[in-house]
Amino acid sequence: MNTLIRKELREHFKLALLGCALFAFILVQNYRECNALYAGLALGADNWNNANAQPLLSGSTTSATGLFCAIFGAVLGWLQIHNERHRDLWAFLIHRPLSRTKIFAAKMIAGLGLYALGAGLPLLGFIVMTWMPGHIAAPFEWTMTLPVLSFYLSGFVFYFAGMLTSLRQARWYASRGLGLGAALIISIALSSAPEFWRALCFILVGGAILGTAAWGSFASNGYYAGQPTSGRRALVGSLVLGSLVVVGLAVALLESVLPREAYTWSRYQITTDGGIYKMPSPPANRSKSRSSMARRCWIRRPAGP
Amino acid sequence: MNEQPVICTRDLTRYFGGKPAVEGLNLEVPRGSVFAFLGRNGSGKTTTIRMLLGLMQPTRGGGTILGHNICALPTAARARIGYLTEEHQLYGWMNVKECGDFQSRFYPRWNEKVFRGVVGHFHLRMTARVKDLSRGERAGLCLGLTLAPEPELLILDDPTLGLDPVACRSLVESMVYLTRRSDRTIFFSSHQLADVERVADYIAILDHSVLRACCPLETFRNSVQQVRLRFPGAPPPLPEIPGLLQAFRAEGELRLTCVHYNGATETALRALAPEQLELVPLSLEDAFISYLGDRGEKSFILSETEAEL
Repeated sequence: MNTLIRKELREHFKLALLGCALFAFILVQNYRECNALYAGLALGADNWNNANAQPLLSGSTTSATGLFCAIFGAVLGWLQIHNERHRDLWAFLIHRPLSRTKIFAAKMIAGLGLYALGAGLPLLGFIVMTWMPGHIAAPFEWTMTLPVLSFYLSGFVFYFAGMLTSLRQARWYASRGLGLGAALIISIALSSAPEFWRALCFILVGGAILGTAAWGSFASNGYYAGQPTSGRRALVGSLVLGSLVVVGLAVALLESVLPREAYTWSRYQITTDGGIYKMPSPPANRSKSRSSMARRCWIRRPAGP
Repeated sequence: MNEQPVICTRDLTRYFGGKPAVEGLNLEVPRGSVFAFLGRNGSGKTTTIRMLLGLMQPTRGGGTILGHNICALPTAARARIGYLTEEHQLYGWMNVKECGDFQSRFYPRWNEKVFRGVVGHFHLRMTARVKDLSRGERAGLCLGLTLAPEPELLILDDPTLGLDPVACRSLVESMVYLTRRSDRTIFFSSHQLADVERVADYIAILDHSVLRACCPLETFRNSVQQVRLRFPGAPPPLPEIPGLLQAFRAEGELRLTCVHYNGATETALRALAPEQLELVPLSLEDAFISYLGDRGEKSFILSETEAEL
């Protein structure tokens, strides 16, 4: 198994290196933006934004980390399988005195290790820079690292999703890309999680589902038939999750195509002088469509003394 | 010779969608034989081999290889089976030595001498990168990687595909020279019928996913015969002749290719009153082409006894 791990590391370290350099560049850009904010403040700029004062919490850092980790994890997982998906090379890999589970484990250990280093090193450097006094004029607390950490960990889910997509013998327009949809659902769920432990739960559940599905597909050369039961169940689970994205996209598409007419209603309102008006809702249309009910004598004002 | 066949399939079937790739294949490969698996492109040879090695699940049926179920081949059994794929794909970034080192770590019976012998036979430098090797050289390297673990059963999927005649001959010679031992079995598919004729003991022929022949090579050759009939004038119209594969009509001559040629066939032919009736020896290639050609009726040669009928 060690031989396979070494082979995988050697085959894909260039991609990890490339990812590492790219992510470092992205984080450096974010760091510079943050520094520019402080420089602008010193020069009397009035566009101060508290949310961007701490680069670990700034929207641009978290969204860049989330996007990069998702793409990097998925590409790494996809390439690890895709490079050997040629029928004969696949046979060369599989036909050896080693169980499928061990071959998969070797790939996974190498792949996750490369992801951990490729995305983890720049992130660690970024955290260290913000932690070290003298770089950012903002307080540092370890809990501030949790948002980017959860996005970093979500890359593992995307890694398995990429693997699954590459493994499955299904059409792209059918169910092949649904694994990535499942990872996207996990990503959306964790970004809305109010606490880190909840985000961690989403990552663990998503990783377990997609990891098992990828393992099952690996064991059966990407076909549904011949998979272990747990692999089948996980695959079905990931396809269901991925289908939610498709349904969501379909609904969004329908909404954009079909004419949108807001639901309107009306109510009566009485003014201080006793006039009764029919007020349509939403109120933006009030000035145009309000109408007086006075002439219809729906409600009469009491006669004055 | 051990009585238990090395490969045994029962009703092995594989469909791709609604299209059959292999249909109800029943095959037995005797231990110690050189078994050629023949058929036209798309007849199901590679699919069969991939099912035998557990790289593809059969739709129906099953089989055993070295006594193990093909759907659950244990790792120990894989160590006893060498498999050479048709396109000789390897990791392009490795060099020849690295390929050998990589493969050797998985096989306890790895024979470095055999590996270096085959690599040397193909004049490969140990430092040459796989991506820089020619197709023939890559085939040689693949053969070395397949033979060095000293497998009991060697499965070769069209190993000479795309090779020039010299590389092709070199590959077949290496394969046979290094594996020709009584306890070793070679199961190979090929389109090079001259090579098959030279080395094979048994042949099986797949035609449109169906096994049409499975017998010793000699039995097949003896079963498909060509008869030349000479007539003083134009040949008479042909009556119903059992086992007729092809008939060529020329001026004063009829050339018939028949399967299961026997006394009854000869009597039917003599009834045409030819001047001369002569049996023409056929090469395996001619017999194969006649047998699988589009014209004439098709028959089955599935056993020696059937062929003698």
